[in-house]
Amino acid sequence: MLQARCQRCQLSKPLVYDFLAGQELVRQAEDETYSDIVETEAKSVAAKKEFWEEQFNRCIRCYACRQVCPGCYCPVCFAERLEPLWVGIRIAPDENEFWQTMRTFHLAGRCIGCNECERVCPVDIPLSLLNRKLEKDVKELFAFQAGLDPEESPPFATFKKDEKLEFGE
Amino acid sequence: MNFLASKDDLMRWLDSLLHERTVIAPVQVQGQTVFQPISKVEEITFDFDNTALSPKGWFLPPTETLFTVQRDDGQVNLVPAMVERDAVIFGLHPCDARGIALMDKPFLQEPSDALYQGRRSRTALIGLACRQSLPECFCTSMGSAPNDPSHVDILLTEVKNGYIVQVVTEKGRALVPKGLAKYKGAPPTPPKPQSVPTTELSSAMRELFNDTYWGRLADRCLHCNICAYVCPTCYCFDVRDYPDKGRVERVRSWESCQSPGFSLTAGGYDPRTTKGERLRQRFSHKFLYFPERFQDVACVGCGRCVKACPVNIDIREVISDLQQLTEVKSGS
Repeated sequence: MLQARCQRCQLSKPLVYDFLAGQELVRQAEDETYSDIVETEAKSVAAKKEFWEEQFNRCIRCYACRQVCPGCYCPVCFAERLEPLWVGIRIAPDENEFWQTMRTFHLAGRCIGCNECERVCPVDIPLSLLNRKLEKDVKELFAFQAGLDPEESPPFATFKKDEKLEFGE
Repeated sequence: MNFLASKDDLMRWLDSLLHERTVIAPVQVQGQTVFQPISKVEEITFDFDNTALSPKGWFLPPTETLFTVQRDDGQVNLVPAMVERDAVIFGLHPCDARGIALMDKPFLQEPSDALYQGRRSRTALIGLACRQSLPECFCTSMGSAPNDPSHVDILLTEVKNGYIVQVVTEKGRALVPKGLAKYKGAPPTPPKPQSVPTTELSSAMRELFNDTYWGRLADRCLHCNICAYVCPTCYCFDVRDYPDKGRVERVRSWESCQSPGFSLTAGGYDPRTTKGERLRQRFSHKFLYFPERFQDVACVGCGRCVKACPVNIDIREVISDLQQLTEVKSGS
């Protein structure tokens, strides 16, 4: 049986390759409707808060999600920086939430949906819900999806001088 | 002396314990079985194979405050953290109890760790013999067994009409309710976990210290902290001060020899910079350094690291690789 990430995968063959081994898969990918994300979005703020608190309370900050991520490449992660200190060493709800939120936002517009973070999590935190929420938002706001065009930069890695910012203008 | 408790007897017993002390028991949270303090006995799950994390976190919590320094009326006071209540851990398997007994060695040797010692002396262990051995279990090779009563205060064994209650220590005797029927039958045959011979393990570790094996093994290691955090015998921690409006809290949290900055010292020197060196440290601690200091191998064969490792680094394979490599080296 295919994993959820494989069922969602829109690409049956890689976009970039030197040599393609084997035969091309003929599989009609299901349309990406983000049904799980839409469902989560519809919940009340209180319900979402309760849900995520329960998830993050379990986090043991083992950093397997970071270590396995193909998009995490910083030589020193913000979580280990002392100056400035972004997040402390407490394995506790507040700092766990901060860690996971920062981790997710650092991958906004860059996460390619391999979902390895969720696979490796030893306490089964459904990280795909966070990653896919941002994937959906970036798609809606910037018409951009990570990993499809090697020439194009992710929205948060570019800055245009004439860009219309909707604040402070 | 063995008694028999029906499931109802057991629930009533745990309920009465809950009135006088904290009860930590296996609970289902979002599809995972975890040990946590319960507020009513109905929360306990009896239908579980193993928990994702061992109960070591009760004695060495993922995070705890060691002491607080605060200023009162111009006086600077150091307020140590205290263990407030008696507790009982219910439902831990014999391998996890052995894990606690192994942690006792570094934490209770003089000078003992005050918080660990406080929790340990105020906590009773009610173990639960294993109904079955899992594919990753190898406790009998590591000095324990599915029905080993050595490191618990009371051991329960599930039988058709309830639980055999085996009183092991005086601490346990004080907890057992009066009026339980004596159990006279033979206990059920315990399951048989697979065997992982540990012959010549320490000498193999010593001999292969500079072997290229470690680098090869570490090629696929992610250097996350999963193996250490799920392990019932890994006990390394980091300590940091948290200043907050004239108050300073000293906090300790789990840390592991696998994380890149673990062995970094002031001045910038790091004795273990490569992945192979870090992975070797994990196994050296378990099979060489701990046995040198405390006689026992620091592994209980619970198999949690085997199951949780995202890249299938399997401690059982490492053991047999080391033995084979030494044989090859010595030409036998």
